[in-house]
Amino acid sequence: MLDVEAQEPPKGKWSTPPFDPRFPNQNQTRNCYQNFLDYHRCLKIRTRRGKSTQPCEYYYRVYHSLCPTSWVSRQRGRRARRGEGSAEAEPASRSLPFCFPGGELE
Amino acid sequence: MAHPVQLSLQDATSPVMEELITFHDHAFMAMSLISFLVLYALLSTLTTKLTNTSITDAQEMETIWTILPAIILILIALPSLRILYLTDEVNDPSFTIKSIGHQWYWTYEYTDYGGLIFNSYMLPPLFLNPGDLRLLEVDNRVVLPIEAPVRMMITSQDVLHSWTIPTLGLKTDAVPGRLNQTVFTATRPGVYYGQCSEICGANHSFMPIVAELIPLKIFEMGPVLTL
Repeated sequence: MLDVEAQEPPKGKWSTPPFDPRFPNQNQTRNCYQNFLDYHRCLKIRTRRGKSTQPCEYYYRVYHSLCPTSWVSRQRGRRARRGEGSAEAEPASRSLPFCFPGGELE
Repeated sequence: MAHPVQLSLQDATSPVMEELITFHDHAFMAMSLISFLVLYALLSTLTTKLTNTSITDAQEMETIWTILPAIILILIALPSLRILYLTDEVNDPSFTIKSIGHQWYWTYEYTDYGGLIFNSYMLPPLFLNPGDLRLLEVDNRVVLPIEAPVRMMITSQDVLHSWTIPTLGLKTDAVPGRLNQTVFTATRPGVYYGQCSEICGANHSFMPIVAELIPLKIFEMGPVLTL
C-alpha cells in the first residue's frame, strides 16, 4: 500500500487526476497547490538521498493537470529567483494561493 | 442554445440538468396551484353575498392553513436537497480541462496528455458566416467528449467571470486566485452555447462559451487540423 509500486501511476495511459478525498469540495485551489508542493518536496528529498525521482512523477502529473499554467510558471520563476536552498518547514497556514504575490512556496 | 421568445429552460444534455428540469416543473406546479387557490379564495371573498360580522375564532381552519403550507414546503425541499447532493457526488472524471476567464475571452487548457492551450474569442458580427449566431459564435470552440465525466477547472486571470452552459446545467464562477471544479457528463453530441454570467466590464456580454461535444472515439483521435 505504501510502497513505491502502489504510488506510481497505473500502467497504461494516464487519464486524469483521480478524486482526492482530502479536497472533496468545489474549491480545488489547495489540491493544485498541495500537489505542486509535494512534487518539489519529493524531488528534493529523493535527490538528496540519491534515489530515483520516478515516483514523484505522479505529483507532477496531478498538478500539471489541475493547475493553470500561468500559476505554475509564475511560481517557477519565483523559485528560480530565490534559489532552491530554502528551508523545508512551511508555515502552518497559508491564506493566499501561491499564484498571488506574497504566496510563497516555502 | 435558446430560441426566440423562449420562456422555458433549454433541453437537457446532462443527467443533472434533466433532474433540474424535473424539479423546476415540480416546484412550478406547486407554485401555480397555490397561486390559483389564493386567487380563487380572494375573488370568492370579494364577490360573495354571505357575510358574518361576528366571527371570533376559527381554530380548525388556522391549524390547516399552518400545517398544509409546512407540508408543501417539505415536499419542495426534499427533491431540492436531493439534487443538491446529487451534484456533489463523488465521481471519477475521465478528463480534466481548465477554463481561465480573461477580459474578455476564455482560455482553455488541455494538459492531461500534452499542452494544448488556446484562446476563445467571440466572432465579431462582421466575421460571421451565414447561419451563425450573433454574439454567440467563437473562433475556437472547447471540444469535449460525450458519455464521459469531464472535470472543468475554472478560474480567472483578472476579474470575476462565470462559465455557463445552461443546457448542461453548469454555472461556475471564475474567481481570480481560486480554482473551482465542476464535473459533468454529456449525453448527446452537439454544439452548445453559453454566455459569461458575472459582470466583468465593458465586453461582459461578448465573451460567450461554445462547447462542441463529440463522440468519445473521435475525441480520442486527438486534435485534427482543420482548414
